[in-house]
Amino acid sequence: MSEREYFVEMDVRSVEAYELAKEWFDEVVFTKKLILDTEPDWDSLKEELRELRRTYGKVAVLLVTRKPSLIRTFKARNLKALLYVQGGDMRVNRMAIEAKVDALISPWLGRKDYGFDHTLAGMAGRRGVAIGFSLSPLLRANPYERALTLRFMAKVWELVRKYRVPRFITSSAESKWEVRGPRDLMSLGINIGMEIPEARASLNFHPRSLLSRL
Amino acid sequence: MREKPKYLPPTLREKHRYIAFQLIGERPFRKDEVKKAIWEASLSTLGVLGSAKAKPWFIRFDEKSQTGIVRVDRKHVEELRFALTLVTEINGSKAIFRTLGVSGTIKRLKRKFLAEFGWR
Repeated sequence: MSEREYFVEMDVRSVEAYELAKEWFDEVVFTKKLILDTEPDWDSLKEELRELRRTYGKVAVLLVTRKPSLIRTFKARNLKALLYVQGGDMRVNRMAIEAKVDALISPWLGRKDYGFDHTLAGMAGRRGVAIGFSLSPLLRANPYERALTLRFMAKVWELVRKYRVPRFITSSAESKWEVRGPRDLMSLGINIGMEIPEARASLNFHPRSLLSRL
Repeated sequence: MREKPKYLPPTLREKHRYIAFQLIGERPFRKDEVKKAIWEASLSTLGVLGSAKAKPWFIRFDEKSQTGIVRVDRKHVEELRFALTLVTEINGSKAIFRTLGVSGTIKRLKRKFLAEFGWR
């Protein structure tokens, strides 16, 4: 298999989705979704992550929170997993980038603007915080929200390209039915303004350089 | 901390045009109906992707004179205009969108095209 055709899915959130994605992608990262507003029980979380690492190899933690300070405490713990933060709240978006997490997923989620600006982009570029473009919110939205979300994604992509922020495209699948193939995810990237090689790089080069941090 | 992202630098900002329109219909329409009609027209003729690129945005509608303003990306003015021409009815009653003109700022738009309808 050539190097060019090596695709990585960065964010899959359930077991059946993982199994389907494993057939289509060369490497799949299993994501443990945590919806938290207070500190978790660290010992049981570590135990669970150890278990997941044994079965899936590469594991990430997706933090969905409204408390920016929680991101710092997560980053300080050595979890041996990639740390993603679900964007949406402006303070969370900013804190995620300041705390140097591995990736910020969909900073525009649930917003009426793009939730991302040139200062955040510049900071993310310098600190190596990746931006994740995820497909699954589009699948659940009505046409009006789809148009809005696509519009925000296109704008964020423009910033990401200008400030050389690491980026990846992912399906963020919660169930089996939200998984899409690598070439289809590329077409999402192409439609928000990427060139074809750039779209390929965001499923290949950028995810792999993120994974090399593990 | 501010809850909104910062204003982008001028080169990265979205470049808009504003379209003034007059609505000719069987009965006077309400603001919400017009807003919905514009979005439906855009989504049905341009599709989801086209609407994402054209970025239509309802700005204002004066119910007394049945005129209003809609914002659009500057490269897609003609596409939205065409989408509006294809509207035949709103909520079951016949309607025609008549575009009065396009401008780069709301201020000039009002001055040039909407002054005769009593806009300030």
